Amino acid sequence: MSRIPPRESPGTGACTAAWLALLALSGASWGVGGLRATPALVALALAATLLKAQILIDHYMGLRHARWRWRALLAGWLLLVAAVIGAPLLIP
Amino acid sequence: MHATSSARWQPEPDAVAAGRLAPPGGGALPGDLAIWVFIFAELAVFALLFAAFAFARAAHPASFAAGQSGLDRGLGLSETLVLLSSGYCVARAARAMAGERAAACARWLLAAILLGTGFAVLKAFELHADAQRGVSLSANLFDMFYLSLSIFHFMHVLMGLLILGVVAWKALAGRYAPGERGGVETAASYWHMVDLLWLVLFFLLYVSHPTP
Repeated sequence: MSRIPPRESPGTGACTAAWLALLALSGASWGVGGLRATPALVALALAATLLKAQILIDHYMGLRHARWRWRALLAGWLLLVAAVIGAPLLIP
Repeated sequence: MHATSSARWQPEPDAVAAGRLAPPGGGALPGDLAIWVFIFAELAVFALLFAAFAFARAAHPASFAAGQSGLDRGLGLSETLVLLSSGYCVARAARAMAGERAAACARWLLAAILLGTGFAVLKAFELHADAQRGVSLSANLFDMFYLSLSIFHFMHVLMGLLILGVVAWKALAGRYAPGERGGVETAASYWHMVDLLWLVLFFLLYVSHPTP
């Protein structure tokens, strides 16, 4: 039986960087959310949310090196959620 | 104790010390597959709720704007920062366990539970304050959506804290064999789902507003 070669998981440095990025993006989008809503700002805040979600999936859930089918499933969910919450906000 | 003729993979000490892990079965989902079936099911349910909220908001922008203006945005941000930090501690706990550092894992889990409890306290305080100012399931459409989403998510937070508590106790009691990651990773995966859902909820309730 062939041994599956080991994969490298993200180190703790990457995990810490991810955490700090998540905090910063949360603060930034919260700040944007306090401004008068324009389509550009709404899109920016939504993009920040998507980025945060992907960072969490990659570095908290540790799926950065997971099989593509799992990553695709989660990415698909994320895109679907972005579409259903973004469309009413951005499409006149 | 290092494996000799056994096929069981052992981490190299320097790789462990450097925080890099190389578990076998590359590409597999961390933890039990069963929790991931549950996670995907929950993600699907919440996606429907998110969609319902978003479309209801588009249909009733004035009502939702009024409802959202009553929310404490500062509390929303605080809850987010606390929950994300809890998730960080859980991620560190999983890495510690994979690196065969059970004591460190237990400490990270306790920190995660402390922060997660902090989120729960903030949320309970927020919901209590909301109730005091007349927010209720039957008051208006926004209140119904806001309370349903918040309380439903809150229930998942409580469940997650329970799961983390069980795993933390097992780690402290030395119930896990060296490098036995499954239990911690299963609990961690569930907690990260709770965090992921909150990221969307945070955007919906505290960041985005109805388009005027």
